[in-house]
Amino acid sequence: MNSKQRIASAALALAISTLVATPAQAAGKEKCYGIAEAGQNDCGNLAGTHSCAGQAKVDNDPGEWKLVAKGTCIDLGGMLKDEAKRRWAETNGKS
Amino acid sequence: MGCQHLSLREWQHNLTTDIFQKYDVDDANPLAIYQNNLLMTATRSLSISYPVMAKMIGHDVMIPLASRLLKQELPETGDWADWGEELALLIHESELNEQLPMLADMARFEWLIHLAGRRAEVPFCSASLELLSLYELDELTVTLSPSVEVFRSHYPISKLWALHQPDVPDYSPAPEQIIKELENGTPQYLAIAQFRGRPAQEPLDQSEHEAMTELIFGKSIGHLIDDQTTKFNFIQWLPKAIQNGWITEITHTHSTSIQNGE
Amino acid sequence: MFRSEHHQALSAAVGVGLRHPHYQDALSETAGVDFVEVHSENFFAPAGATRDFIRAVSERYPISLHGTSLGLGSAEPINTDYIQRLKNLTDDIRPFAISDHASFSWSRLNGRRLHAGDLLPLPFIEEAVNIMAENIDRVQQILGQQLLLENLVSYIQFKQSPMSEMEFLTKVAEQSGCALLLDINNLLVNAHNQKADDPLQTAKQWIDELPIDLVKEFHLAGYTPVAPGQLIIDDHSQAVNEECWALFDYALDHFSPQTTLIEWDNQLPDWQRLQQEAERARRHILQHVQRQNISGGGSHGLPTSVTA
Repeated sequence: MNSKQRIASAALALAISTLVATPAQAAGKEKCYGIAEAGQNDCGNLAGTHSCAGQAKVDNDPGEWKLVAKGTCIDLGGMLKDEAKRRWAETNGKS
Repeated sequence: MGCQHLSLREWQHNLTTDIFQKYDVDDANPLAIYQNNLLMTATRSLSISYPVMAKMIGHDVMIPLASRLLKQELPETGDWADWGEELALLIHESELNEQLPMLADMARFEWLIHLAGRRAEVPFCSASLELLSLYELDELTVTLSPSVEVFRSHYPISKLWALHQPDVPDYSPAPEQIIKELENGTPQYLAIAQFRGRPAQEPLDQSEHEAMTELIFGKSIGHLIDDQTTKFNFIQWLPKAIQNGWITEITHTHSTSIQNGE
Repeated sequence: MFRSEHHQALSAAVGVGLRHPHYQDALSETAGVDFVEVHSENFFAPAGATRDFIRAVSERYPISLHGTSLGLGSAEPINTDYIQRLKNLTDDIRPFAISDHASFSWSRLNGRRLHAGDLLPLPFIEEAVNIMAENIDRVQQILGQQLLLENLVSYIQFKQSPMSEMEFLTKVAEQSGCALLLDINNLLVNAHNQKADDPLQTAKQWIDELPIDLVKEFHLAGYTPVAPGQLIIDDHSQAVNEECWALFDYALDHFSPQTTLIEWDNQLPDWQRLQQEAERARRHILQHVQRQNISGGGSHGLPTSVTA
């Protein structure tokens, strides 16, 4: 029996014993998160309800509108941003 | 608007082109209603496909992001859930990348979670295990599930993502831990697949990540064991792959080996 | 098929649009509505949480599948994959009704394929009748089920239309064999946006144009009020308003009671409030029946119920 044959029979034995012990489940309780996503195809016209609708529009010049993160990235106390920036600079040879 | 001189097809092309591409449309123009609705629908859809992204950068920033994405990726299928795949690329090329370089990876990760939650789940064919005792490993390969994708990042994306899951109490990584991992910049590998009807993720080591990437191209198990730069432990990986729903069966490659690994 | 006790007395089912915030409510309590209507495309994924959910719903309620993307008036062909996904879903959950809008959405942009992602209006011309009738025929053949076609809110006014919207819908229905889903609110939104002197009266005249046997479902909805001169956006964000209830009464007398849906998509109230709205629709249907009885049974008699 060569080494790959030994690997094959060991893999077979372990796979079968796993299948018997845990019939295709129980591979970690925290993995089955998530409920149904919200529907993305609703027919009520959103233009009438969203407060930003009037201002946003399809902007003509993307360069004019600088994107600045305003969410939880900021809540992490700026550390996330600073650290990430430093690493980005490093990997781009600017430090 | 009339259709006297145009075929209906041309008229429809013109209207959709105006909605998607005409700028500086006056608010009083009915076209503005269709343009706003398009943008709001696209924004809402993007925020549903990328919920953590929306939280990280804020919902208002999703509006210009959706606007830009509409210019490079057109909706094509009639289901908004299919639209938005190119967000990671868009973010990578945007000014957000300099502020928060992990965002593009987060977008890539969230898209895989989104896909894993929607694709068909194929149960593993246990009977195919028998092939392991009938053929050489060089002649056998493993078929990956339709829902499985592998992911690699130098950022602690999985933990950052978990930080934004208030409904899952088991996930509460400390922000300090995330910052530490950001500092280390250690590559992180994951497999993402549908598991019992829900998207699931599981850490991989580098060799497993490499092996699963090669399996997509139908490489034999024997050659995976021979060719890995880091040692691929097939014996440990196989039960894990079965339990996590990453693979559907073991199959014969039907191809003559180029080399014998022994 | 419909479990409501009201159903026998009313001869028409009353349901609500089922949207994401009410997913859990709908599964935990089933009283109050005879059916639910969902947007087809939201359940196109062949597996996963959304498909699991809609299967669970189909065990508790009759389902009406209301599409938003079929684009039946598109001159560009309807994507075959889209129709197959719709068929896969209908085979799975067996809806008692399948509907979509008298709109177009499949198009091209600089030669590239595009789905506009919205309900875009059509000019009421012969060419559009033919295209829509052919598309409906194709989809009905594949699904093996009659489609219901819904009248649209259009923000674009077509001048010099050779036919009215109601003539247009009638022609399409007669040519394709589909039925109509009459959105009562859409008639009023259009009448207001076209600056009719008396929008309710205008909408009633439109109803009079339709043959009484073509309409198989009603939609009721509410919109956000706007300042005079502004266009009303059909946002489905409010309770049904009094004008809409009045036109519903008129439609009940004209067509006799049909399957009726409360459609509320944005700024949703809680599940109880939605059911109260359905309850009010039932009262209007009951009042119609009483009117018919007083006036000697009415011309059409009691309608037969819609069944799966």
